[in-house]
Amino acid sequence: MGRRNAWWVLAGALLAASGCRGDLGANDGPWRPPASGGRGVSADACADAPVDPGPTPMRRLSQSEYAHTLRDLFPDLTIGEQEFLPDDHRHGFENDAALLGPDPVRVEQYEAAANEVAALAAPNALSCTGEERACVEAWLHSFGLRVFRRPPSDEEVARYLALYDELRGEMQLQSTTQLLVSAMLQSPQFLYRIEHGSGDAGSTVPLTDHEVASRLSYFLWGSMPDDDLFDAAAAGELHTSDQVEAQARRMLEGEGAREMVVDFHRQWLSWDELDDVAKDSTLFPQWNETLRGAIREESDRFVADVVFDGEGTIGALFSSPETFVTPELAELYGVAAPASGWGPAALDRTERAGILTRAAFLSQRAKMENGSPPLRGAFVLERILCAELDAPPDDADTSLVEAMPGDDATNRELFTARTGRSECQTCHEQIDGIGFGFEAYDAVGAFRSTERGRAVDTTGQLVGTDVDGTFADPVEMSERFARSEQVTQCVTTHWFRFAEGRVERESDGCRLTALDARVAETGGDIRELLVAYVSQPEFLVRSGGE
Amino acid sequence: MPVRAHHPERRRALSRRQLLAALGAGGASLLAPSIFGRSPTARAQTTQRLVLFYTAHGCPAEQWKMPLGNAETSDFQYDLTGLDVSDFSRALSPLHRHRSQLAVVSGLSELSHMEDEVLQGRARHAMSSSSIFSAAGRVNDSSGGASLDQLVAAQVAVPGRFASLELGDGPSPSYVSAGNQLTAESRADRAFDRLFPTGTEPMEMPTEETRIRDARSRVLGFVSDEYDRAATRLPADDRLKLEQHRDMLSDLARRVDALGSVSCSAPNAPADRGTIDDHFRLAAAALACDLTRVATVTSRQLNVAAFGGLGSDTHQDNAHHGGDAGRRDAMGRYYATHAEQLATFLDTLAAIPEGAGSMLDNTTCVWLTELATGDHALWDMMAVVVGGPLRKGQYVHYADRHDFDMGSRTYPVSRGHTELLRTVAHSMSVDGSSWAKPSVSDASGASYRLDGRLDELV
Repeated sequence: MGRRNAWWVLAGALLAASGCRGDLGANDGPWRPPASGGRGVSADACADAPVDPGPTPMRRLSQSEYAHTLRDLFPDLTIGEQEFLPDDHRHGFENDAALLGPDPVRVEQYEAAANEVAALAAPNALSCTGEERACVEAWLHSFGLRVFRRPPSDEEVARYLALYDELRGEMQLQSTTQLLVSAMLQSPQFLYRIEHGSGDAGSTVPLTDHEVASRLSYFLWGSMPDDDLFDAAAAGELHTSDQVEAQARRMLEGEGAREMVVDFHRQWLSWDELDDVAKDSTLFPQWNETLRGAIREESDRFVADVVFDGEGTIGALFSSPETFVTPELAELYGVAAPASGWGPAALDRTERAGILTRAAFLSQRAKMENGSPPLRGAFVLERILCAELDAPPDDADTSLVEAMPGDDATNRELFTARTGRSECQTCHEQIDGIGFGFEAYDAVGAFRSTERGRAVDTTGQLVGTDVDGTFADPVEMSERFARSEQVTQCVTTHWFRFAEGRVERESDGCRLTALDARVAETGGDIRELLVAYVSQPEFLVRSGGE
Repeated sequence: MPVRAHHPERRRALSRRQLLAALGAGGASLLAPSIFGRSPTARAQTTQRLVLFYTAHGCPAEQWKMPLGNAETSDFQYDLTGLDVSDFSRALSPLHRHRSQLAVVSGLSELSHMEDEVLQGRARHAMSSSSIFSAAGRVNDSSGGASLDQLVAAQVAVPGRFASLELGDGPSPSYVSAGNQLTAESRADRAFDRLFPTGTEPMEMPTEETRIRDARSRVLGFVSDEYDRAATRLPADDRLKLEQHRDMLSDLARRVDALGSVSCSAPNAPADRGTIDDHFRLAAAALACDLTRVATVTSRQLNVAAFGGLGSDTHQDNAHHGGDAGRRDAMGRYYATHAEQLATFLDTLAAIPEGAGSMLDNTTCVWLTELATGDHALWDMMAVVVGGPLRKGQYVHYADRHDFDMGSRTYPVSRGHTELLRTVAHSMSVDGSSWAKPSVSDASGASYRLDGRLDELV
């Protein structure tokens, strides 16, 4: 076993040994060791292993992918926001194939959206100067390529032509076109990413060049292929890893990649939950829609800046003091405000380091009145360290902790009184060990050195990680995360889940191990991680099994 | 709005005053004057409908129970109809005005859920919506199954109408089969668009727009066929998704055709996401118009301000009451708020004449909560049945008979709530003989039968 993989075993042993089997209730403990995803397999074994993509399930376009695809399919149209039932998510990700099935309400919403967009598109969809039916047939081939993300077959075009014949007898060409567009936007080829592959089905099946183009575009852009990808696919230039890598490097320079990276972080870190966050207006009069909107946008700007304009590493996500602020955010962070709108800012390095010390995370994982060490600690364990957590035991008291009138107890002291019992500590040692470090911030994420007139204790400890030990404050904790192999591998795992649309399996060990190695070689470079993923031979095939 | 009457001989006109009362509009928002142009279609007395109401958390026992001096160590039942409102519990007091249609059942436990927890150790909030009406649980396990509404819908649905409606902003407890959850429409305005696709506009001479609209079901049929073709070449799991999508398109196409012939007036459209009251009003309109015969309304957790709760967090500061009397009282107010929502809906059904009585006589409404109590108990749950053919106007209590072994401790239990659901299905002449778990086992291996019915309600 390589050193690189040793922490998975170590962490598993530590967490399993901790038991987390207090007497609070019937549950078997709220967490399990992080899954290794098969990491730990030797390099020799991987060198001899056949290409194994694991399950490659068909995926419905997620809400986000659907919206981006419509936008890119009709770049000249102004399409209003389509409101759909929210996608389910697993580990925060909305593109998990298992959860992306049909639903009666969603099917109706697809129809309504298709009708609405088709009505907008129809007036300029095609202009026929010659024989109308031939003109429509040619349009079905060209428009069909972009809707189906592959050339439509002659049989498919014939079926749509038959629908044209039927409808055209009753209505005008534009109306007929509108209904054809609507039908195509509801088709399985548009709403689902179907990969048949080419050649005979063995254990794996090579993808067609157009299927590879879609894999690339939906992973790196969250949308349909562009003309360059369509051209490359038509020319048969998307079936080697070198060809795919070259396209990926081109695509990562585009705006679509920035959008995708931001979207990945939105899902991974559950930033949408910020929309439901409320604060006590007496304690935090500055909390309003403007500030909340700025906090939300800062997260997007920070991530895009780190990945594309800054250091570009996983470590920088947890260590960078650089960010962007509005006047309202500047006041929250205690830095100079821009004259108006957004401006760059360097936060106090003794107070802030990376994404976990920003208001988005801190205000979300808090109560209305104060920060919540258990919420903050549990989220970090789950999403940053990849531990599996269940809900608190049934009879755990998770109500608001409040100081009695006249009591000057700090938030930390109140939580310690609640979770300090030995039966709680089997789990809260890890949860609060992290969560207490964030006591340096109040419920809206403002830095504080005192609470109720007393000094805030920001010390904590990491247990069961590769960067264990006590720390003085959240900056030191974040800097530990920045150099933690466990955190880097957890982030890699999240990217793998996002890309694959599924949770990793033991059989993915060689792929994850190779990605870990590449990330380590590049100092944690996120874009190199993405390139490494698409350059693996598994990116070019689908599973051949049922 | 001139519409084609499906069964003109059955049409029954309601007076404006009747409808105003019937639809609970009271001069307010949702079902305002446009409804008065047309009338709901009266149906044969044998038509049976089911409405499920699912709300978050659970109610402390003293807030909903009303033993009236009877010892709970023995079974008992008594007549509710003679009670004064002051005799009613805090949580159920809004239902006092429907007491002749009301059955309150005490002593039931979610034994199917308890067995799942013994086997899987799953978190209760996460499990409840999948198990509460399916009485089977385990979302991804073949031992789970359809929820009661879907069992009933499969047998009472009218072709071309909605087999069932899932409304409200809470987690959906409706399952077609194990792991196959139906999503609830959380927006009342969108639910309106589904129910009344042509809105309230009068029909005009054919225009290009109406030609497009009239071709809608044909386009849906065409697309449905495309799913059929695409499904054939795929692995089993992928094929199943496309086949499900195909069937949903086919259902939609049939409904689009059929809804065009419905003889019923659309209410005014709700302006936005709406409230649970709005969802209930839409459910009432859909039932009255026979657009469906099965509806589920689900409510997410109420905000503290909505029921006069404590602190800032309903879940942590109220539902997790421990032994705190103030929090328990707050949860009584919480459920009284929901009871008033239900009662208002019942007002609507009770005011629409049907046969010799009202729609409520032929509509069984079942209200269950996510958990039995806010501190995650699964035993001795609140169970409310209103309307329909079951024996009503009574309070029924089943005394504890067994100690259910959960592994870490035992809990006294009596009958499983599965038996209540089975009783409801049976009262609607729905075959539920092979539905839900027939029995469960606790951690000690003791077996509990769930294949019976609650005879006291029949």
